[in-house]
Amino acid sequence: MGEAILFWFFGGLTCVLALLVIVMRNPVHSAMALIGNLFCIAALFAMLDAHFLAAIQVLVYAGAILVLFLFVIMLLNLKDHELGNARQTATKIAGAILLCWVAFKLIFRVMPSTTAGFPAVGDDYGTVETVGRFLFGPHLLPFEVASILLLAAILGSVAIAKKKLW
Amino acid sequence: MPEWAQSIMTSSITWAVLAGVMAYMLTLVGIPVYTWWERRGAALIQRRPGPNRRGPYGLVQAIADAVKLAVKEDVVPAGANKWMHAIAPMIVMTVALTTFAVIPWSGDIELFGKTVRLQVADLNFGIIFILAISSMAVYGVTLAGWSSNNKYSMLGGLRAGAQMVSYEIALGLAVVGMVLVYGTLKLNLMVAGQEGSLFQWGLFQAPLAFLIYMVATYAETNRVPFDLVEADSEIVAGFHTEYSSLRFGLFYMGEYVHMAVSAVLTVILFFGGYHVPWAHTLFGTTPYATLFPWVMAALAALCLALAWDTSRPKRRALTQGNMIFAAILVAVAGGALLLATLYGLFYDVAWFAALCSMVTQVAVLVVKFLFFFWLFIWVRWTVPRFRYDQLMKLGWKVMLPLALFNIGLTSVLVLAGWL
Repeated sequence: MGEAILFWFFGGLTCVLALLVIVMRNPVHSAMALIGNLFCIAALFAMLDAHFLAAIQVLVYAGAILVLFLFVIMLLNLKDHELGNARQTATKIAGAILLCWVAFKLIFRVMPSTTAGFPAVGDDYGTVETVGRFLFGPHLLPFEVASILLLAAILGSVAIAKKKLW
Repeated sequence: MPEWAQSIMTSSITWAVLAGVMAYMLTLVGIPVYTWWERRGAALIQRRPGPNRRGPYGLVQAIADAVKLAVKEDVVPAGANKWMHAIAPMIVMTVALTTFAVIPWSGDIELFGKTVRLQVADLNFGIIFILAISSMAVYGVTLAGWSSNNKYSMLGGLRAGAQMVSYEIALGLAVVGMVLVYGTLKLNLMVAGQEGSLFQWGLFQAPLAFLIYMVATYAETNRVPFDLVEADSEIVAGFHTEYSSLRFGLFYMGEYVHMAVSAVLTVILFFGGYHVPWAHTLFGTTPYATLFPWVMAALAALCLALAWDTSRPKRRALTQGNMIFAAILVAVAGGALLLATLYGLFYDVAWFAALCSMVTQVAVLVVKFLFFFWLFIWVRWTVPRFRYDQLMKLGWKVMLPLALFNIGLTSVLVLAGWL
């Protein structure tokens, strides 16, 4: 019961904040809504016993990446007239109707067929130890490939930021 | 002991609530005392008296300051972003208080066959929780700077953001070194790993990590020598230039709560937490219960000394408040002595002895905490401020490589079995 209440609270908040991200006119408000959204998703992860993932979600996405988003938005400091006029066009309404249809399909058609028959997870399912064993055991290659990708991104940003390397 | 009392005492909720109360005592209740302490400490270092007029040792000055802050007009500048201006101080305060959730205030004790501990949440990623939550603090200061619609605020907010993001990396990497040493992310197991001799303390296990951690902590709390965020000679008051009344109060309190968290974390990671070095060899099998009457006697002695000092004829001329303060101190001393006597009578009652050992451990932790809190004040009034380019150079070109080197060194030492 308690878990259901928490799920509906955080799930609902996630949806509301995700909507705010695209509805808000001020980009800083959108960014703050996105931070709240990521926080709520972390809470949902924690309720699914993926504790480590929840902590990393907050640490990396909400704590580090969104700071850079916010910095860029603040330094641009867009005024109201630079954002252009608010438009209520037919395409928006059509898009909204299409989105509702997809959401309906997902909730009432796809979800019942996938949620049936998942085995229960053990006590140590989402702990640091288990995640670590998986990352450095069976999934070592994808893990290392991802880290090389990150390294390439770091080198790229250094190359762009510095005009003369040596 | 009746059944219901036993079930209350062994319930984990009771101890979680008590641990929360403990955190609030050290932060929200402590803040007036800390502000007074900061001002008296500054005065001590600069050889002047400091606030010493209102109440014994000037302690009532802290309450006067708080009331003054609360009844001031709350100004929101024209052109400010009202929502963000209101939310920013809340973020700072909430983030600083939340990190207390995983702090272990005492070790495991046995009560009626159950093991309890004074800790709100025993997460299996405890230290990552603290890093994750405190990484959110940067939003508070950056948003405050941006939403005030003032260029000095904006500069302060951007400086704060850049500084906190830069030093967070060194801080996190220093903590990784300590995780390698203790082989766990749980804070209570980290403290348990420092039991025994003095050289089991994190400070002696990884001195380099301690150095990096301390410097990065001072930068993270935006304290001197890293207070470029509010450098008054350059950018007025930085991100909180446009804040007044209790909104400014929240930033002010947030800084002290952040200092308190950092001080407690320093003690837990590097200074043995609630452990006394060589406790088992010196004080037998239940060292903390044995120490309990001595801790109480020390508390009583301290209270009596302060009471004598405040009621000296020289001071009695000042106020009657001094006499009330002295009376309260004498009462506290009497209570402490009573508890020590009770321990002498009932030391063989298992649950009473266990509770006594818990109180001792909390007292040990608080004494170490107070030292590191004093260190913050000491450094603030001793060291000058960095220049901004020096700050960035130190963060990225010295601290980060040192922290990486420390991780490599620690890993080699752990693999070789020397740690």
